[in-house]
Amino acid sequence: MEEKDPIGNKFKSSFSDFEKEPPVRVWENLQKELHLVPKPAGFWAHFSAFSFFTKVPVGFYLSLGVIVVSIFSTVVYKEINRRHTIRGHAYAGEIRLRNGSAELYQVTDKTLPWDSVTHYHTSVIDNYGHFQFSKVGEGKYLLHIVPDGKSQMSTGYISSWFDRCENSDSCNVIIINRADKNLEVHLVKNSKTAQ
Amino acid sequence: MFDDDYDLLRRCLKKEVAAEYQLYHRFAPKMNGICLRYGGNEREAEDILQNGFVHLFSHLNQFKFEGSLECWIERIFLNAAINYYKKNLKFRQYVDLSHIEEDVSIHEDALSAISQDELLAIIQSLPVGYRTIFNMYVIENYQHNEIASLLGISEGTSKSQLFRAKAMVKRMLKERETYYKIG
Repeated sequence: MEEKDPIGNKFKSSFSDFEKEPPVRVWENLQKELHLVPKPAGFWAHFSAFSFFTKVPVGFYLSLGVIVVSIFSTVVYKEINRRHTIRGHAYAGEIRLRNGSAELYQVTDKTLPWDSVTHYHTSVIDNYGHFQFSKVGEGKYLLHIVPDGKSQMSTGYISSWFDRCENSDSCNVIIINRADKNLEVHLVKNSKTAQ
Repeated sequence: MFDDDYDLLRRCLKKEVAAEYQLYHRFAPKMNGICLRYGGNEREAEDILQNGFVHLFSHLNQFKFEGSLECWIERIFLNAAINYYKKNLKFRQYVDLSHIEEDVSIHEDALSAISQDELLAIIQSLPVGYRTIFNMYVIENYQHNEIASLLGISEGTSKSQLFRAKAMVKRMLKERETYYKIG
């Protein structure tokens, strides 16, 4: 072939290792066509880059995130779950008290005497002796019933703590945790009137 | 022997963009050389190159990790060139070869003095059918029966087209020789 076809041999030898760099646009077009372009960085890539540049391990931020989310969840959970209702009826003897007020005190002390008692809410007692405290958070409470002085029904009874107590230190503590409370509160008889 | 190429290919299969870029830059110059021979000009060569790489990147998983990756890629680009030939058959031009003398002789010194760029220009000026068969037969060493099978033509057509291609090449070389002699 070498002797017979010098033109063919010339072409063959000239193009046996022929190489030429293609224009840059070929690669650019190829990237577009095959979607070889790196995908836009998402949250994780940005986060990794931030971690890299701040030289703080990703694990630190992850742990921090988990702690923050846990605290936030706990606060939200507690906030949601601290809403309870204390309701009930006040009695003067066997009859429901007509008019008066119910005072709710929050107790922060762990032992008697109750030194850290703060007024929480006051509720009106209606004609049927009913009272209600809404949106009460978890904790310990004392309930004080104050009869209306004009009410004939209450003349024989004095302001009392739950239940049938003249003073707060000997009364029952109402503990609110997960459930609502429905109470029957009886007033203490006025000993002077009784005599 | 082909471990580096195989590693590169494996990384490409994992869609590593850096590896794809590396693969492209490793083979693009050589494949561009092939495409320039089969295309009628640089723009057409770019089209063949582009199509070849699209096919390559979308069929990487078909490589069996046996033999040379370069040979496998070359075959892909030859197929891209053949597809280009088939697509452009309807646009093939009529060439009047009636005045061509079969025994045109080119002086040996004139032939050796001709540059690669000039040879490329001659190949590119051939009609697509002549150019494809000339490339396959003269440069790639395919036989007429193989060319016929790959292009979907008869052996006779392959032979006649090669004859005409060579005649055209000789004419162009002679023209060049005459031009330089006059010069």
